[in-house]
Amino acid sequence: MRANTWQGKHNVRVERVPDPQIVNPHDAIVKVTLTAICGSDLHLYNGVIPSMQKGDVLGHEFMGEVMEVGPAVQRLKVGDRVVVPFNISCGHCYFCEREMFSACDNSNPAKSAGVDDVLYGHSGGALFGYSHMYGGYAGGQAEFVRVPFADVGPLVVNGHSDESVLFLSDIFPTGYMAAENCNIERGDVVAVFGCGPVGQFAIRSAFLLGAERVIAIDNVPERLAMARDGRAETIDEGQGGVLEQLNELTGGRGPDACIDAVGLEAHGEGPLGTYDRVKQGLMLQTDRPTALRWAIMACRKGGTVSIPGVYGGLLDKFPLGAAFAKGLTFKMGQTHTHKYMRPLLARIEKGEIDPSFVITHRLGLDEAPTGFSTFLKKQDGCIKVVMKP
Amino acid sequence: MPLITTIQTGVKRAAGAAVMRFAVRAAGKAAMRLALANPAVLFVAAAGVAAVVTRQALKNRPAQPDDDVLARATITVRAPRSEVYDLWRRFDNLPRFMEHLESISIDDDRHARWTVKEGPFTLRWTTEITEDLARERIVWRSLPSSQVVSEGRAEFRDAPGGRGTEVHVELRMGALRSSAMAAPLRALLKRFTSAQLAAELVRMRQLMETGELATGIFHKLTQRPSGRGMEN
Repeated sequence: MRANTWQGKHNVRVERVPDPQIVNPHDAIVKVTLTAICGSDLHLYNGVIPSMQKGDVLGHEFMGEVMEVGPAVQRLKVGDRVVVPFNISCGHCYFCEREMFSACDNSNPAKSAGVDDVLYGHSGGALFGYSHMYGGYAGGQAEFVRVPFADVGPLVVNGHSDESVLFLSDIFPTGYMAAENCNIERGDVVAVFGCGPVGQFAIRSAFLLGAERVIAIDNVPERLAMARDGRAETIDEGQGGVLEQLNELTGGRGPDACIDAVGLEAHGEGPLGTYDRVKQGLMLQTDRPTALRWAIMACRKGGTVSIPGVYGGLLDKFPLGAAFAKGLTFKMGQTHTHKYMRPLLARIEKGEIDPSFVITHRLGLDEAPTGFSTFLKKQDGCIKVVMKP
Repeated sequence: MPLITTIQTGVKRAAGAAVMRFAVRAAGKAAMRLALANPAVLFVAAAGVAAVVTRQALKNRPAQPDDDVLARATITVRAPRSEVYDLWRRFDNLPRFMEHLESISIDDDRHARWTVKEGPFTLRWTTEITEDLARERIVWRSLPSSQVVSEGRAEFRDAPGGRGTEVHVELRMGALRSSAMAAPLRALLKRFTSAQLAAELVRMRQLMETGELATGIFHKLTQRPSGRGMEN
């Protein structure tokens, strides 16, 4: 089959690779009908995530048709049309039972889990197409994918175009969980830092969850325009004075909750931005937390900072004093995708939202290298790229 | 900027190798091979946990002749204490999730023969169970006549709040009688760390909670799993 493979920094290549096979009894094989490039794929593309190997198949947002099921698969059937969550979860461990699916105890092969234990203390669940640290599973930017624990993850979808349900695999639940983590109450003002696809879904989810106003911050005109389409008020970060504007827009109170939908590769500004880049260059810091610092400084007293990520390692100049002085709550983590897929599908079916709004580029799988480059450089008004194998 | 480049190179060279060694020992070589694609990032993360890594490294230093190796690990599994105890009580179950073991055969209620392969060499020893407290503790040791000195202890406790069973395992391996096996035993002891044992307990949990060993493979073709499960 053809698959988009990682070949090094800023180097992906579509190659012929062997078709996946049933390996474990609960596996299924899915034929991919639509897939996408995620903002977190860019961390792989930029060489920032360790444990990638040349030839690794990328992609964790995908959907398609079930072609084959293993002998222990009971609910999923050949021919089912499914959206597959980007996390791999066993459904039976302490964490899956509590709907903390991204923390699954059993989906990461033990050797990979050992690496995470050194870096993080405890390892999380595996992901599709996201390095050997996350299990070494082949991803969905391909014609076929092996899907473990097939009765747990894949969601059967009927009706609706591929484009309107694909994002149940990752970015819609991610934006929604980020908004849910804000503990939104009536009258709340929510600030969303970063208007990439996750930020766009966080904006719309915040309104679905009852926010009165959403203020969105970015520096790319098309992304700010798309945020305004979602009823957000916008701040152009490129003009400076982000904290002052947030203060002004909230009557001096600060937003009730702040969502950091930018993550570890934030663009910096001013002396701290330079500081971050120098520290990264000297390998004394792995993550650049510009948006996170803003979120902490802006947030009102007793408010919530919600972090859908992604962060990977260590960062510096973290204003913990400000967070403490204001009594902030932090909620963060990889999305527990499975928990949200059914309720969000219901919202799509009721017409509350059509997620396909976020798509700006439609390519064939063979154009993946162009898609990555365009997405990274934010060229041509690029916000979200989908690809058809 | 040449100065920054020089500093970068110096920092990399001076610290990178040492920290990598610690990190490799702590996490097991197989696991860390996975992470070596971006040593820069790994270095920073490892530096951040250097204290923990150093302690681990001292515990898991490679065996010298006449040195004991002690591996210790703990895991909580969602299964009743009786079920976990029953699994361990039959030692021939252990190779299903303990990769360092080739096979174990049961001789009688208290004796079992363990086989380990190290390259072209095969190490064998017989153990006897010295303490057996049903659903609580199993303690065993190699017979005095064995070429490998090996002791083990598995304890089973209820985890709080209905979380299942805590399994606490200690395995000690040590000096040989016969010098013919010295080299392969040293190689085995080098590989056998607490991190290795912890990974094996993770495999036990996968088997008990899901009935499968998690196997992540990229596009490489593999065969159907053997009885012992796939190697990654």
